[in-house]
Amino acid sequence: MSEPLDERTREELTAYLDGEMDEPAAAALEKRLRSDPQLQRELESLKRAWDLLDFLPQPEPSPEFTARTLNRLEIVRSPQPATVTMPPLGSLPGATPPRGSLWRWVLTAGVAGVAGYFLMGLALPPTPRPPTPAELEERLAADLRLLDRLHLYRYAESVEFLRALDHPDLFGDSP
Amino acid sequence: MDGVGHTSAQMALRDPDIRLMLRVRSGDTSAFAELVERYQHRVVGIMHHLLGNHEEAEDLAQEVFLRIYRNRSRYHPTARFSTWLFTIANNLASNVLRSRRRKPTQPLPMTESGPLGARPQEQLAVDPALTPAHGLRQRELASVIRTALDALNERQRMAVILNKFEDMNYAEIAEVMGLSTKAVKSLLSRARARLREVLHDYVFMDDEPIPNGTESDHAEESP
Repeated sequence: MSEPLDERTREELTAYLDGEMDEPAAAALEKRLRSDPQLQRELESLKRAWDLLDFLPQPEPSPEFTARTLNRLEIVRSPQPATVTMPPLGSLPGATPPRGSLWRWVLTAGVAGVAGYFLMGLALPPTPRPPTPAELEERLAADLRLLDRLHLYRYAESVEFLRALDHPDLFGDSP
Repeated sequence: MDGVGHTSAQMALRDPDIRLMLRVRSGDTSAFAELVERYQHRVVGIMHHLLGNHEEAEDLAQEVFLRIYRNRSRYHPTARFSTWLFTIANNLASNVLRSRRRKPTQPLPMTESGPLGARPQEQLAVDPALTPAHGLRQRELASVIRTALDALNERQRMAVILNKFEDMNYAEIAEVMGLSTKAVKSLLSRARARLREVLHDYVFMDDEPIPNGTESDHAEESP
């Protein structure tokens, strides 16, 4: 049985196959190859295994790869979540100075309402009867439009701003 | 203009990629889109060969391009753009493969050979219909070769991909992988031996004597 190939010789064969050997070293190896059938078989088998890699299919990127990459780039460039950008309220015609968010306004109104209710309760006789289910339903129906669009109103800073948006010069129906 | 600046200017004039990258550095998004177009096939190809999963390869390739953009101000045209690109790709892929080793995210299919599936030798041997003498359909052969590629360690696989599919020489591979040229030579030598070992049945003909000492050792190559 012939001797196993040492690592150094195998590295030389690889460098030779890869074209990474200088001319004198390549000439010396070729001389050895001519007189050593085992070395020739080694070289040939290493080459065949390498050539088999040609059968590996070359994967193609999906057609929308560039577009998707650019979309991700946009997200990277604008780390803030996309929300409606509001101009300063003071810059709108007829707008009043900012008074805080809509939520703060609603909360304040709610607290004031509750406080008022109790104060009124002290001054006036108690309400004779609680609202009936039909009355409650009626009130709910009246506020339904507001409730339905509450997720949109969250982006508004104040009711005044929403009113200013309603100005015909901004989004009015064009003829 | 100093010597380095002059050299850089000359390189930039010659290399269209460098010209594009300099435009990207100054914030030109259309130049970035052009670079993505030019290199998407190569980066996706490398990632696919490394990871063996196309979807993951595309995600990672996108991340490579985004890193290029994020680090655009650090780019200096002192080397080929592709070398810089593939260095980033190599670093990113190494991180992913390291993290995958620590925390496998994909469920492994149960097979008769156990949870890890058939070992390369099991897949390659046995069936006499799957010999070169009987001919193989290209898809089957591709699957076998994919298995052989997976049998390499990560650094061997990267070196093979850069050498075989990117046509990079040892010095370029060394630069991308942060190794010495000697280490690349050793990596590729062991990789070739390992490929030959796994692809044994497709390399040697029935009546052909098999050389001794074809088994590759799996010791880590020194950098």
